[in-house]
Amino acid sequence: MHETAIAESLAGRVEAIARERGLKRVTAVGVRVGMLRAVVDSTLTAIYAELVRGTDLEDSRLEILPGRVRSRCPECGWETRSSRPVLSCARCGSGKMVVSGGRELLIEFLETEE
Amino acid sequence: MIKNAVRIKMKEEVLRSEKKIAAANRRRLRRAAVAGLNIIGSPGAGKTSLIEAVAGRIGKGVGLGVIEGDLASDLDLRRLNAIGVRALQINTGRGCHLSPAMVASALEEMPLEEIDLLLIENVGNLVCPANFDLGEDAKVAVCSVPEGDDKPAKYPLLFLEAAVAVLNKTDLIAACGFSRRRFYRELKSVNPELPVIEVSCRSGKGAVSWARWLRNRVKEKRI
Repeated sequence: MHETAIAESLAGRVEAIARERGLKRVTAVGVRVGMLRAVVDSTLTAIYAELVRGTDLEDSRLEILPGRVRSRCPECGWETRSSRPVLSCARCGSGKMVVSGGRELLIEFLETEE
Repeated sequence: MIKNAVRIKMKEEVLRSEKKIAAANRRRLRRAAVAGLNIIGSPGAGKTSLIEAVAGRIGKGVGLGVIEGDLASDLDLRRLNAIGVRALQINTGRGCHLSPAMVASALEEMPLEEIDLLLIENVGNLVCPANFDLGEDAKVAVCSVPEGDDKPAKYPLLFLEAAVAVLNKTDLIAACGFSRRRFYRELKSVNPELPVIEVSCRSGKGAVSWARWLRNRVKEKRI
């Protein structure tokens, strides 16, 4: 249940950002969650909703954007994005794939009304 | 009045404060020349046993300190104190992993000047602890034979984050029908570079290699 700790940090960060930027009402929060982090989207959403109930963020809806793992072949340039690392190239068979991403935990947007 | 939704784009780290605290822990360990290792594995994988196994083998001149993370109880602390290991217990309550802030307060209480190797035993769990940097030098993934040979495939993040995997309870390989071939194949499909140390805490087999690996981390830190 690392979703609890992540939801707590998330609500705290959103609150701080909204305050810094003078946003009175946040209606949506877009958060990129790397697929390697094994976060259950519905759990994160439910805990977040519970945490913000009765606060200024009560009306904010969580939108979870999947952060896929990027595997790229440095030899032929083939690239794929998936839920876990791909370690051999589907095009040239090379085993020297360069893997990145999949660990993100980033707030990518806030929605407000004007 | 109809209100328009306005989307404000940004890139803000969710775990910003956790990352800051972890970085401060890392600086603190570096200043004190302490090698800090975050030991992660399932409940019952043998994390505490692996610490007990090295306590007598780590060698004179290497001060050992342990931070024990558990939801509740001081059972592991007592096990370590009984063999003369300096240890401190953190009870996380409902928390399924140690947080960098918990480790920061434990570091306040530890006599770091007397310690060269700090083993941080995380809460028994293969998922959550892999998600949080505590400020350690490296993560150690502990798995044990009775858990099955499929753990690297099921919990890839830990095996991607770790600097070494320890396969414990190798004395049970035949009894459990554990396939070494499958284990190594799954591991290689996640992290082909990851070294593995096979240990049986019960028979003591492999404990020397495990202790040597830890001593090398201490040496690296002293340079």
